[in-house]
Amino acid sequence: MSYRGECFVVSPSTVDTNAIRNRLSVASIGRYGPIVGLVGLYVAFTLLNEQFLTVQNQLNVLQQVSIVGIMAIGVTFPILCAEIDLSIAQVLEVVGVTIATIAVGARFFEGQSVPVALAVLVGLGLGAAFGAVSGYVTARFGVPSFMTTLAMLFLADGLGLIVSGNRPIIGLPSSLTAVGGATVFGLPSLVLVFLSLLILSQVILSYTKFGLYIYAIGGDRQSAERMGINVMAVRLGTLVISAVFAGIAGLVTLGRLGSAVPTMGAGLLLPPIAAVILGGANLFGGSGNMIGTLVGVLILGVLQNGLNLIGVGPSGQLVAQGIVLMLAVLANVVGQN
Amino acid sequence: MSRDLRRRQFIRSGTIAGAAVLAGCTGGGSDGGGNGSSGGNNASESGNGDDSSASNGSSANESGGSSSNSESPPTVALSIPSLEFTFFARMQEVFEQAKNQGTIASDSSFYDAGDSQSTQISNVETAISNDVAFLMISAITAEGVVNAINEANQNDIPVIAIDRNVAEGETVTYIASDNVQLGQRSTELCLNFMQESADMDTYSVVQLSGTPGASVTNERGQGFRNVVSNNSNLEALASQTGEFTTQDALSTMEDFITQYGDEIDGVFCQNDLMALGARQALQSSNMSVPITGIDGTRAWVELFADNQYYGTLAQLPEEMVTTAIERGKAYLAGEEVEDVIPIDGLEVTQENAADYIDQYFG
Repeated sequence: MSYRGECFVVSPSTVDTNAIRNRLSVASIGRYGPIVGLVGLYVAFTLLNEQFLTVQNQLNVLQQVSIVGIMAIGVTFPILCAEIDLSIAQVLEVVGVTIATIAVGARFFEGQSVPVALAVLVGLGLGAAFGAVSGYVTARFGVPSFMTTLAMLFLADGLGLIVSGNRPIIGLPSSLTAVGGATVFGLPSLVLVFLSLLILSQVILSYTKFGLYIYAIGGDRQSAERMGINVMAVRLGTLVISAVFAGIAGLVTLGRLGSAVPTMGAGLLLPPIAAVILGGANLFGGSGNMIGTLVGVLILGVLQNGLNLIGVGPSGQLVAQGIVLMLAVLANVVGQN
Repeated sequence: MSRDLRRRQFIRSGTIAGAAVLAGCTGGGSDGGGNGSSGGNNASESGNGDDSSASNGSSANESGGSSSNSESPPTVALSIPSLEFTFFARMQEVFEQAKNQGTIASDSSFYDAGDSQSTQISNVETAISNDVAFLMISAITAEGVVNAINEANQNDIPVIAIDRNVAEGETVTYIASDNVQLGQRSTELCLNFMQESADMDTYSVVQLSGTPGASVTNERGQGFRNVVSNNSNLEALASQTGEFTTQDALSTMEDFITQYGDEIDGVFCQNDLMALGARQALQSSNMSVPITGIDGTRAWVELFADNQYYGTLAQLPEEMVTTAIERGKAYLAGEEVEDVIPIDGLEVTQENAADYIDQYFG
């Protein structure tokens, strides 16, 4: 293992220096364009609507972005590593309905209800398995993760329908819905889950070798390989993490909705990925961080919430979203140069 | 580096292509109901139909179209998109009943296309070669079956469209729910609830609408607006999309509560899945106001036991098939048949919720 230690020391000269600089740039968040965009949105909506900047509404915003946020944190890992995970929305769905059906003992698992903790473990294990399969095929055989996770998208979608019988599941045990639906010290538990995962993930990226390797591989995979980094394990790892996070998102969705709906992943693929890119990450790997992802998630959430509050109709919202996303991404690029 | 460059180019082009594909997928998914009145809405429930007699259409039958004008019941065919949806499974059940009761000949065929356009076309062709007396079809897409319908026309087989119309070709009639009317009646039900629960001069209602641009959304929204403009004591406080999903409806409802709070006297949802989300949001804020939906989704109806001010307008696939068989036979007998036959929804409230579930889901 000693050579890995060496690699850590020599990395600044061999790894794409860009990657290292971006890794350390957490300290200088102020430079980020997206932050400016987010602050701008806050100022605008505060002026336009008196309800916007109330504690209750800000808690609502946090609650509304948490599910997309958890998925976005998860998918940040593969994106930093120059991979992509397209299966997150369907993994959320299949894990959510699996946990619900096992815990209730309905549909596919008729009459076989098990303790909630076990149901959660089975569900998250299933999520990890999806990530492991796509990750293994990608890392071992060099199939682009775009294709392997697309395959997982269909697989997970189908399994979700089979498990749930394509019908909503109601009457979930309260211990299960508490994970995403309870209130702890005045904060929704959903938000706490989101923020703890965010901190955990930033720590992984900033203070572990695994985190460093992700940036190194995302920046330049060949160089990383020559330095002796176990590229296969890291690529596989990022896809497993992303799938598990999507599974956790599925778990907390149960609490948020109070039921399991087989369509609960609908429309949840692009927002997390958009949030990551919006937060300053490079879609093609090597740069970005979790704080950026948080900012990206908040931009999307605040925009939707604010437009709802001032009563802009669906078509107007889409137009406004298009304009703001374009400006935010532009600010991001200009800010980085 | 060049290899790296190529890799990135591949990923880039792949991402663009994929985004397009996925946008297509999700779009298709959400407005699957756009075509007719079921899809997106009934997608939430499915698959309790048994396939036992899904296709016995290959058996030869001489008693087909030729003898249909005699007293013996006609041999007919019913083709549906997919038994995955409860909506169509319920159609199958009533079709089997009609066979057992002798309303239609016992060698009539039921075809499940498994959501495959080409399968549905083959199914129609099989029905044509069996020379059925008339063909009932709920098309997967209005355009996809056009050739098969033309073929049926050439063979002088009358076609009846159910739930989803066909784009071209001759049809005897089109039988479906009237979404404008469903929206109207559900809003009126909501107004009745509000009047029962509180005595006020004006009542403020919010609307959770479906996927923007889908025809179901437009029609149900039209019904809502009709009621608002016809009742001086009803005011539309706000209207926003909930994308026909529980989750979006939940977020949107939270924002409504933040903005309007106690001003909200009632919620009209364009489908029952969104009603589930609206209820969840109201509960979290310790509010309780009347909520009405459309479709008759079981998970929503089951909640009526706890609250007398919840309601929905159920769509009735059974009645669509029964009407189709009845009108088809009338057409064969030489009667005039209307071009469009709307099927009224069934109003479900706490009073008849248990009966409704027993009758249609029992």
